[in-house]
Amino acid sequence: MVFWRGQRNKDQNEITAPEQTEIPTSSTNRAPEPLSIERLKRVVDPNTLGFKTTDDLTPITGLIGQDRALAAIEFGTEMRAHDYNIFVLGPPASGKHTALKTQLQKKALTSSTPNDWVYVYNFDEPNQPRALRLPTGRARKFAKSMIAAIDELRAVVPSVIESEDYQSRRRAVDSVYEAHHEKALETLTQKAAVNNIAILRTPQGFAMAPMHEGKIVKPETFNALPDSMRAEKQAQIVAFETELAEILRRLPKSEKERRAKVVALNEDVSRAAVTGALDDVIAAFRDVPSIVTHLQAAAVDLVRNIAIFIPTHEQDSGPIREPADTTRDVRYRRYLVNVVVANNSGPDAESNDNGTGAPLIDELNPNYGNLIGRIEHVAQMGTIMTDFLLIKPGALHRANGGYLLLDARKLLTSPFAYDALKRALKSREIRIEQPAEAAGLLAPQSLDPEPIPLNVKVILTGERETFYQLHQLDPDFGGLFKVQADFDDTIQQTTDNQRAFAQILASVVVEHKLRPLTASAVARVIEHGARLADDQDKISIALGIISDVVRESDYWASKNNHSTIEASDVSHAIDTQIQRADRIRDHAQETVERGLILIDTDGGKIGQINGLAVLQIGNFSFGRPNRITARVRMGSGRIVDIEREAKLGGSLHTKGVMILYGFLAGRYAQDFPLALGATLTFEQSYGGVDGDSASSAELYALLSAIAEAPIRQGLAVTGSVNQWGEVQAIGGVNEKIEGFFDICKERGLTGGQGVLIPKSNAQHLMLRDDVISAARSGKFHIYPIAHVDEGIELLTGIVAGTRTSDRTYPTDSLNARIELRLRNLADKAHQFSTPPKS
Amino acid sequence: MTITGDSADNRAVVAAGDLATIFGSTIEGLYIENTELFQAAAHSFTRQVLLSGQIAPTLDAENLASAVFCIGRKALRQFSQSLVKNGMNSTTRSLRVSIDVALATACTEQGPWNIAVIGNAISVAELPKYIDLLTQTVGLAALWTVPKKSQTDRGPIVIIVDQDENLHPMLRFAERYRILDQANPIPITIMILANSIYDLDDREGRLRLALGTSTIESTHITIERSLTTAENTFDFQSTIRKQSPRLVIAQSHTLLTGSATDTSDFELDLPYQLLIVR
Repeated sequence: MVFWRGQRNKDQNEITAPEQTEIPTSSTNRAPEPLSIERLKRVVDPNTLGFKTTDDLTPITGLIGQDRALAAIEFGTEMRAHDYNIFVLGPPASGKHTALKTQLQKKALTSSTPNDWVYVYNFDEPNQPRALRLPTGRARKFAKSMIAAIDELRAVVPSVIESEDYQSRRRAVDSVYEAHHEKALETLTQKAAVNNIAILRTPQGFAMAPMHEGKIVKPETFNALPDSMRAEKQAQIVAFETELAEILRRLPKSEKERRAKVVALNEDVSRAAVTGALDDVIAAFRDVPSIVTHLQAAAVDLVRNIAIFIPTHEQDSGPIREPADTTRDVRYRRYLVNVVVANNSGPDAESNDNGTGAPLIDELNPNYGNLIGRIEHVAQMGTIMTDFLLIKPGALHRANGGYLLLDARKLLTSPFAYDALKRALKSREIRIEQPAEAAGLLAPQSLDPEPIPLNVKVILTGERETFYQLHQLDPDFGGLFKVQADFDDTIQQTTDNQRAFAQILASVVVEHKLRPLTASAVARVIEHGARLADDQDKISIALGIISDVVRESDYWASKNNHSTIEASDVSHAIDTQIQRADRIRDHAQETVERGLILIDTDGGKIGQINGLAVLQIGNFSFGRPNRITARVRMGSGRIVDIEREAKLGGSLHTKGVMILYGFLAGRYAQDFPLALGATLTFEQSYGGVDGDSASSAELYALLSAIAEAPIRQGLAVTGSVNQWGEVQAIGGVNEKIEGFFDICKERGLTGGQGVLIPKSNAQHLMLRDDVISAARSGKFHIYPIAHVDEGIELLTGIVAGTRTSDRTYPTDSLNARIELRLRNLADKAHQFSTPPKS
Repeated sequence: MTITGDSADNRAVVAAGDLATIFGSTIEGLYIENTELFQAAAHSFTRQVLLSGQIAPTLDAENLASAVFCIGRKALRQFSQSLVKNGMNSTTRSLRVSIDVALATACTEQGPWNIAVIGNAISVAELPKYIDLLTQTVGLAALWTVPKKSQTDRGPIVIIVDQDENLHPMLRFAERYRILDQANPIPITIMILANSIYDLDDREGRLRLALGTSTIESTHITIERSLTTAENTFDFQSTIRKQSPRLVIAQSHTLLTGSATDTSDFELDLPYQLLIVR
């Protein structure tokens, strides 16, 4: 370490530093040593894992290290209350959805299977279909029974109608009418004929004319008759017309009577047929009073409307023949059954909608209609029609009595869906209504189905942000989703957990039919897991991402004709994953290499330092150095953050810069004003800056500018700083180090380059092998910094200095220079502010 | 086919189409305007008694003609369209003559063999009139009638035979008619009439000889017998009803014998169509 003594200008009481281009590099009393190689990455020894390949392991299909979340789910599913629904929160691709389903499936299988539900026609209020509950597994049988009953009536009623007994009774009724009507007409016709008057049928009724020998008398012949004869004939015609008119006027009344008698006859005849058809159904469902009540109402209606079972000639020979399938004939729709929920249980179970046990429904598209059901409409004869058979169940119906899984983001982004869910949970019933009706808007008249009681456990899955926002913004949310199942992102890297993690990999191998991984490959994956966790002592359990790595490793293994997945295959998979995503990083590096972005990696500069930032683009993040500069002068004590002034700085960055002022003032300007004017900026940064992870770098640049002590450009810095000068942990430490390393490596490592990181971040290091290799050969160094004094010594080569008992810094220390400079600035400022003596 | 009134019965239209298919013949629709109506309208005092029971003060001849013409046009159009749907063409015309003149005219112009289909459902009481029409119209080989209550979709074809030589033409027609719907061929029942058991046996024997072996009966033809002695008045209606036929083929004279001419037996409508052969 070389020290130099500045030339004191006794008159000005200033210290001016000599020109300095070389930075001393020997250690001082506070500058730390670089981290040892072992601390740059936690290497997993395959020999400690206790197996050769994953084929030696028992696969685990569940999760590891998620006891808190799994216990919460267990608790939530056990709590029967309607407001103890569950929100499962955690990062995506963490395997929580699969784990959740697995756990719920086990629970559902041991739970009782809920009732079936059907909608039937309401004979009293047709637009309010009735919901009927049936014992499990009997809904479809009920539906089929009704179809069979209708089919029976379709066969029986025509034969009853064609039977000699009915026909003769019907003929008797008709003949009475016909005798009354046609006989009356016939009698009148005959009577008229006797009087030589013909009764003729016209398009609108009847007309009468004089007749002779069966032929109509022509006008000229009639007019030739004597007046008296003509008058008499005309009078007769008038009388017959009057009589005919009277007969015709009586016709509607007698027709009405005839129809009533036919209806009564039909009901009398059909009652036995209807009873016969429905008896079996009633007997089969005698234990369900609501069904029996419905069947009784249906029987009454069937008898009243038995005519629908009597084929007419138009139906036989017309262009539209009656359908052979009962379910497609509009006449019988009201007697059919709409099965909305059919569960499988018991000896009568017809089909299996949900399997045995309670239902577990994973609704992948939770829009309004899919959630609470919908009422469909069909176009018929130019109009839109609907009926109870067009009620379609939603996920709530299918999950009723069991569990419903929903993705929170999808639910919240579907119009009306979230509100509908809350409404259903609060009211504990499923009411199907049009969204327009629910919103109170004018809606076309439709059905108003009877609501179905709801007993369901809803499990929402989503990210943490979503959960916290819902809690904050929706007063209902906390009251309905009282259980949070928080899935962690990582697990501790213990020996047991390493083994468990290996067993997870074994299950991935089995699931995707991959080559087994060797212990070395597993070790490599664990290391990658630690890298993903950004922590040497943890492993990421983002199973989606881990599974992808394993699958891609298998691919590379096949390319390399390996029978097992080797560590090299895993490394290759990781490298190629990065390579596919790092186009932007390469571009960024190229701009530095080509001098478009100015970054120095050797020499020294006053007030200039390499800060480090992390850029995240999609699922790939990388580090990049950024030149930070500071200029100082006499001023009012304000540190101008140019990023903030240009509105490119976020609030966290602003806070970090303000802390620098607190540090400077607190350390150096206790008894004199801080008459410093300083500007800080991120050079060539135009996209916005936030966070305080560069605040220590900014402080170093400031201190360098104040002390006029050059900073080593071969070192980059990351870390936030508090008002005491303590360097605090930051995120993305691995990416930042590697980002600067890549620049230095491209230009040629000098052995004097490296990165200053917060000491507390040392435990997060999982650096690339090329970085470690450079460190091992002494060409690159990572320095753990706990306090800015350590850092400034490394960067400037000047001892920072500690206050002595007389509250002064050692004369040759950097802190002394800084304090002296600031005091000088304060004195000058005072001079400028004092008016000259006259 | 002759049509009066508002429109032709669809069953009659179907029958006309079937006949045309069987014989490969043309179809002509005749709308008969009732001449007597116009004669009645010519009188100044003629009024209309409307179906509502009200009496319209006049029956205007021009309006009547127009109304009848429009009704006729509509009925003929519906008739043609019904046939077109089944891929058949037809000619149509309106005539203001009596039905017998209309048929005679048509049979003279067409032919030499014609079958007339009465397009309107008839009451049983009108049957004798149509039988007369058949026997008196030259060039008319047969007459197809559709009683009001007749069924068309089920039951066998029943051929009534009282003379051996009459069987074959009727049977040939029945054979061709039964397979119009090849998926559902119609069974045939031959009802033999005779005055004595001996005659019945004799007739049946000859019939079986003419048909082939007795195994024919097990395919699609069954044979029934009925006596028509004075002591056993041929109860035409009830015997036929028991077969529940869809079509009865009989010669005109058969229908005119015995109780068939007693219209009191025709109180009830015939539930089958009737092809009356000259």
